[in-house]
Amino acid sequence: MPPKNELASRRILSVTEEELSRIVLDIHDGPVQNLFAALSLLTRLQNGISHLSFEQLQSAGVGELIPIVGQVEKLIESSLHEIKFFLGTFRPPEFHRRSLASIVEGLVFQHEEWTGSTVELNISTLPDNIALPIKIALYRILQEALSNGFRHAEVDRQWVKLWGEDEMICLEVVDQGKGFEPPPLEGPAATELEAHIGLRGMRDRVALLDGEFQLASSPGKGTRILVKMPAYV
Amino acid sequence: MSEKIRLILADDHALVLQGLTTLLEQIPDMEVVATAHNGDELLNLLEHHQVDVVVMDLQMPYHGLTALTEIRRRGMAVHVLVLTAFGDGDSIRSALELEAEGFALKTESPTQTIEAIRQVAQGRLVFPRAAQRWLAVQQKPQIQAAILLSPRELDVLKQVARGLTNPEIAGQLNVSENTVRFHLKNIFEKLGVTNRTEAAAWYFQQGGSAEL
Repeated sequence: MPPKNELASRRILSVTEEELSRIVLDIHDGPVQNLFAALSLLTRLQNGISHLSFEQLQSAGVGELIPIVGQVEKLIESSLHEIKFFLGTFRPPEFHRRSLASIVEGLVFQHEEWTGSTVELNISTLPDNIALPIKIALYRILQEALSNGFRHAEVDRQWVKLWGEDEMICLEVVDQGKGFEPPPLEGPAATELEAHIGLRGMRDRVALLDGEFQLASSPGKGTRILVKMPAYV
Repeated sequence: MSEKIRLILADDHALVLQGLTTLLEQIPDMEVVATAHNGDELLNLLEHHQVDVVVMDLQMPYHGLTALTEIRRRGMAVHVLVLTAFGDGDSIRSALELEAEGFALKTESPTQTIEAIRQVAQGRLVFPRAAQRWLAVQQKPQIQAAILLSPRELDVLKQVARGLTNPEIAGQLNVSENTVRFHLKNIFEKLGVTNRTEAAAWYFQQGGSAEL
């Protein structure tokens, strides 16, 4: 039985994900719909005035207003793009309802779609009814690993393998990119550098759930992350 | 296009319906025939109107998802473009599994929706590039190939799969090499592949040979 504070941390993790899901859904159901409607109307307006000549616009006294319509259109478009990218997920993964395989597949899809890179995904048989905190942790770890590979390793191809071993779930993320000297992630010498926060976050998530985290990398030799977690907590 | 694309729009967000209708009414090659606020209304409208394309949100009350299933089950001759705020893998997959022909996002400019309507009306599949591998595995090979590629493109792909070069294909099909290159470019784009080896692999993966 894990200590009380660990149980509390796990519970907080799930609650935070739920709150995040609700916020994301609300934003998509409210502001996104309104912004899209507003943009449709503005496009209509733009198309309408594009038929008019400069003289016609001037004589109507609205010549100087035209560029403003374009500006507003651009502002709304960029707001929609920001919502799309900054929310991290277009739609919360609905961890409760969906299988780990489907969640991982969705995440890989999203990564490919955003970055234009390729992820070779291989999922073997997994245990049933994987615990919610495990699904959340693996999702966030994979998200971080994929984005690290794209941002830092400078590769456009990664390999992701997800499989079950007895009652353990194993996740491996590999790239053949730039690689780096792995910093110490544990103990008194553990890195505090901002650039390493993501790595520490992955390691902490795994530790909290009694899992195992391995990071192998060296300059010029690519990176391999291996995570093993119990399927049930 | 000489004839207008006849449309039904279905969305439970009244402002979206209003905004999009106002925009589309002014597009010369399109005509909004009716609008629906939920899935049931949409099915009713489809009983009474002959249209080319339905633009619908899947997250609608009274059965957005079921409405699309019903459209397919009843074999209604209409193209379906899903227009949604959610561009995640799961949403796109649902759309694919329910046999929508296109997927457009409310987080993109409405001009993209207009373009997607035109594409879908011409029988093309409009899905994000990353969804191509699902497209390839999820639909029945013959239907898949027929939807994706024109008959001429299928002819060209078949010759590519036989290992023929462009001049050889040109000779075989009685067309110029330029035409072959043009078809190849379209084939690569539609299949989401980058070279002829991948295109051939796709062809064989679909179990392709005689019936293609």
